[in-house]
Order: sequence, then C-alpha cells, then structure tokens
Amino acid sequence: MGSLSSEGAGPTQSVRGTRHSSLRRRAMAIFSATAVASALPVVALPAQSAGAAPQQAVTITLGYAGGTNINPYYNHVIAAAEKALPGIRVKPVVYATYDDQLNEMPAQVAAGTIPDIIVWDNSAPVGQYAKQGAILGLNALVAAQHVDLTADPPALVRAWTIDGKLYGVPLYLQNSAFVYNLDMLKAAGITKLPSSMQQVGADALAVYHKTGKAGLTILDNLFHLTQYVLAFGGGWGFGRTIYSKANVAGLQFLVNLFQQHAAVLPNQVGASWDGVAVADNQAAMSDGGPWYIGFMASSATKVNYALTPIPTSSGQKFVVTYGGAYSITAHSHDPAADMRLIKYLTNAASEQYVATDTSFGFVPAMSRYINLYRQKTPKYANITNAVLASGRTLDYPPSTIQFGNALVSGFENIVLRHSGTVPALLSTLQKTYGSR
Amino acid sequence: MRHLRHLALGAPRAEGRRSLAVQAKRDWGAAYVLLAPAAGLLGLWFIYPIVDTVVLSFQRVNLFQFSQRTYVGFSNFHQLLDDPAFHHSLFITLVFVVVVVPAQTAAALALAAVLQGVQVGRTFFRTTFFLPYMTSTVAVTTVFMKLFVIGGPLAAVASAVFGVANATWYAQPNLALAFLVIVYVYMYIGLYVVVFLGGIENVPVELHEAAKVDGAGVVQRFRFVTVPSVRPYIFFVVVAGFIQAVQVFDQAYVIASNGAILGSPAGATATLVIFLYQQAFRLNNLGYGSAAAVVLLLIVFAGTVLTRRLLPER
Repeated sequence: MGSLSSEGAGPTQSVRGTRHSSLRRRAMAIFSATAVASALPVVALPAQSAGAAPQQAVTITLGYAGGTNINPYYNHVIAAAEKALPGIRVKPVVYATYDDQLNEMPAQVAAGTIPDIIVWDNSAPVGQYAKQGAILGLNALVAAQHVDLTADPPALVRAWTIDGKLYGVPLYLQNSAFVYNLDMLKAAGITKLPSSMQQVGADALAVYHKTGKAGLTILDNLFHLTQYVLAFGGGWGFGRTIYSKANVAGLQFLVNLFQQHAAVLPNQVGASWDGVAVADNQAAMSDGGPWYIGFMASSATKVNYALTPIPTSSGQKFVVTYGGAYSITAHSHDPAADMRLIKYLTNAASEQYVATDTSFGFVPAMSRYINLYRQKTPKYANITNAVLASGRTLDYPPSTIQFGNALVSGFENIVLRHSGTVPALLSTLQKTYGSR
Repeated sequence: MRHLRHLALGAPRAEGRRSLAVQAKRDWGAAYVLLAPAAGLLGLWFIYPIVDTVVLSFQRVNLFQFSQRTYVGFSNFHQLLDDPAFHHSLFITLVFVVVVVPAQTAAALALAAVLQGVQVGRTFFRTTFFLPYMTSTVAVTTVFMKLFVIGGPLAAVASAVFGVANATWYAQPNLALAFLVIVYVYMYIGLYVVVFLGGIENVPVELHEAAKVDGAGVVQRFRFVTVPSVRPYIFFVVVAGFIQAVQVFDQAYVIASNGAILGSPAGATATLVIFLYQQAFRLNNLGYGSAAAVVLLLIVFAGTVLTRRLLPER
C-alpha cells in the first residue's frame, strides 16, 4: 500500500505541478501585463512632454460659477481667447452656483485641484484667500503684461486691492437692487412703488392680505440679509458693528414680515431662488440685481416688473456696488500665461461683449462701456446713477463663510422655528466673529 | 522486512513532504502576488483614509495650509461634547435611524413576500422596485421635491388624508425630516426587497405545504415559516440598513442646494454626516470634522455589535 501510495503520489503531484506551473505562468503573465500597463504612462509621459515642449502649449483651468445666462458669455470669450492666444487652451471648471464655488474652493486648495484662474463674484472672500496665500498678488504680473487698469473705475480696482497688493483684475461691475412684480402689486391695489423700507413692509402686508401671496421673498444667505441691514442704516463694518441698533432693526423688519406671513423664503413656495418666486407670481418684491434683467427676459416675458435702487428706512435709496474679477491661484503652474489670458478676457472686445450680451446680466468694468450697457439695457438705466454715485460696500466680517453660516442658521431658527431673538443672535455673532 | 520496507518507503515520503511544503510555499507566494494589487488598493482607498481621519481628529488643520497641522490632543473631542450643533446632529441622526431601519426592513420583507406570491411579471416588479436604488440620488430627491412642494400632488394628498399642512415639506422644519425619511426609504427599499426575495426563494416549499396542511393561513405562514427562515437576511438588512442610514447625506445635501446652508431648514436635516462635512469642508475645521467622523465610526461599530447581540444571525 505504501508503495502504491507512494506511486500514487507521483501522478497527483505531477498534475499539481502542471497546475502550479500553469498558475505560475498565468500569474506571471498577469503580473507582467500589469507591470507593462503601469509602466506605459510613465514611459509615454516624457515622450508626450518632449513633443509638447516646443509648442509651449499650456492648458489653463478657469473656474467660475455658471448658469443658463452666464455660460454662453464664457463659452464665447473663451473660444475667442483660444483663437487669439495660440498655445493657450482653456479648460473651464464650472461651479453650479457661486455658493457652491465658495464651498468647494477650500477643499480644492487643500487637494491642489483649484483652477489656475478663478472668477470672483465679489471681493468679500478675497481677504481670507490672500491672507492664507491661496491667491497671488498680481501687481508684477499686471505690469509685465501691460494690463491697463486705468480703464476701470478706480473704486473698482481699489475693491480688489489689499494693503497695496492687487488680487483681482476687474471683469464686471455688479450691484444690488430692489425688484417689484408690478402685476402682483397692481392686483393688491398698489400702483406706486414704495419710497421707503417701511412702505415696502406695508405693501408686502397688503399683498398678502389681498392676494394670499407673499409680499416679499428673500433668499436666506448673507448677501441678501445684508441688503436689509444696510437699508436700515446698518452694516457689518468688517466685524466691528455686527451687534448694532440698525442691524437689529433690519433683521427684525424681516422677522416681523415672516411672522405676519407677508414674507417667505423662496423654497417655501417651491422656488429655487427669489427670481423664480417673483417670476412665478409667488412673491411681489425681493432684493435682487441686474441679473434679473436677463433672467426675466428669458423666463418670464409676460411678467411686468421694475428694478430700482433699494429703499431705506430714511426714504433715501441705495445699492451695494461690487464687482467680479479674475484672480490667479497659488496653485497655478504658469502665472504669466494666466495673466496673458486674463488680459485678453478683460480687454476692450471682451468688455464690450459684457455690455452687449445683456443676458449675461452684468455691467462692464470698463468705464467707457457702462453707458453702452445703459443704452442696451433700459431696465438698468434708472439704477446706474445710484451704482456710480452712492454705491455701498458689503464689509463682511473676516471669517465670512463661518459668519454667514451662523447668521443664516440663527435667522432660520427665528423665522421658521420661532426660536431665539434678533438681538440675542447678533450679540452672539458679535462675540464670536466680531473684530475691534 | 517490515523495518526494511519502512526504511525503503521513508525516504520518498519525506521527500514528498518536503515537496509539498515547497509547493505550499509557492502557492502562498502566488496568492500574495495575486492579492497584492487588491490589498494595495484596499489599503489606499479604505485603510489609509481611516487611519488619516483618526490622526486628523487629534489635530487642528487649516485647509488652506493643509501640510501645517497642529497636534491638539483630545481637544476636538472635548469640543464635540460641548457643541449643541453636534448634539442636535446626533439627535436628528438617531431619530432618522430609529424610523428608517425598522420601516424599510418591515416594508421590504412584506413586499418581498407579496412579490414571491406573484406568478406573472415578478421580474418586472423586482426591477421596478430596484430602479430607484440605481437612480441618481439628486434626480430622485429633486423629483420628490417637486411632488412635496406646496400644492404639489403628494403634499396635497398628505394634507387631505393625514391633515398635514399643505406646505413645501423640505422647507418646513417640522416636515423636512419626514421628507428625508420618505425619499430615503423609497430609494433603498428596492435593494432590500431583492435581498429578501433571495432569502424567501430559498425557503423549502415543504415547510409552507406542511404549515398549510396544519391549517396555517397566509399571515401565519408568513409569521411562523417565512420570517424565521429568512432570519439571517433580516440580520443583514438591519445591519446594512443601519450602517447606511446613519451615514445619510446625499438627500439632505440636495435639499440644501440653491444657496441654502446645509441642514436647512433651521437644522431639521442636519444629520451627523452633514455636520461633519460642514465642519470639515465648509467651515474649514478639518480636524474637528474628523473627530466627528471618528465618533460616527464608533457609532457604526457599536451599532453593528449591538444589532448582532439583539438579533442573533441564527
């Protein structure tokens, strides 16, 4: 038996040996294939680079908050820039909204995936990014590429300058305003636009009582809440004046309207933002801006509306003036090429296109095209003077995002849960985010 | 002779053992080579992030200067203990899990039992139930947002049938969590129906026939035959359901789109993962968010152990 066993082991072992050998061969084949596949890009990369080097081709990533009205503008100017600047390819990185852009950018900085150039919609977060070294100072690059900033209003350039360093090349001028759905106001028997914020409140109540619809809508974020704070003579003062009488009055004005059902958040009526609520005849008034012009022209052609500076509690009117600009991030591989692109994207032709592409909804940064925009966009004409003469600034506290989150969260608790008070909220925010 | 024979056979046996040992070593070698890529990827995508998250939870980290980390000991965990927002997110998550896990388990088991009895079109129904699980969360949530908007079809039905205010559910603090539960259960129930169907199909027909002979009705057969037979599947669904539910994020994220802050309205959908995401990636407190992630990891582990204790697999 032993012999048999011993003999029997031979063929089994032989089969195992054959299988093992086969297995080993397969393993080696897989291993080799994997190794070759892994090595291919490494081998191919120098060849590609070597081939690309003589052409000096550079791909620049350009990040901006997109939208139905905004994308065509960028598609147009990017295509023109690629044609005019041989060797530069632009890869757009489109954020769904500006809030998404602000939310995603810190993680992109950490991951090293932030675009080479970013478009800011306002200068509020720029200080934080500049302080952290996440965006580059542009003075030397602007000088080297001969970018002419004297064509822009000096105040606009100053908005992008911190401690003498320029961090953004202005693209457009932007401002807030107040929007009225004239059809809804008329249905409530209101024929004259309110001259003060108190009258806005009274009209909002009238709309609610006579039509059952909201008189006012506000998108609950920092920018929109700030408009009402400013309308009552307040402001954040870069964190110095968070807890002030005027700021309390501004937010309390909104809280009162919510408590009387005269005001709603856009999503309460199924709207994604205030413009949709106004366009769908769900709310008669809202703070807004020139972006309503393009939106209403494409989405609510039958709705009669008006756009004016924002009424204040004192009867005067104001707008917040700010603007969009291009910045180069510290992640950029070729800042000089980036500035070449920025120079093109802010040149006279591009600025003229800002003025003529009215669906874009922004006012050109170059002074000489502001009047052209005014002619092309009659709805904007009556807010132009306020924009240029008495524009206010946002003056957010330094930890803007954190402050905004806390403010909106507290505001939602007050108006939706009836939990807390405006003075208590602002007092807490002053202690947490205030500066002296 | 025997001795000689033993001697004669001994050498080849020893040689054979040596050969087998060498063979075994070679097999192990091949196994390691073949497993190495998968193990490497597992380490890279799962083990390393977990370890790094634990490390981050003991540090203060600024996303803008990611490489400069400061060791802060248990400070982040101490802060969590005192943070009302964290307590609130734990409460919201607890309520969500307590409602979702039993609801989806019971509903999926019942649906699977009904589907098992369907003779015609079973595949169609199975696919139909599974479809929401395969569909994009954003798409499903957005559709439900349209259905539960003020005056929308389901908001109106709920108002008429249950007397709930005809309002936009996802914008009302008292309805938003219920909305989240509905969307979530709708999305995941199909997956668990398929799991239970697999279990029910394995129950021997003889058991049902014997119960029928003993006079058991449909409900009794379900209770005394089907349920005990699919106990391991129930265990799996409860554990998997718990692990997934405690990590709910996508649907709440979609609700808070369009510029609203995460957890809107008024923190009604501020689940634990929403909290940690907001801290880490929106408020730039990566270390603090990581500490919350570690707590989440411990909760998932504890919950799984507890479920195993309370609901033995067999």
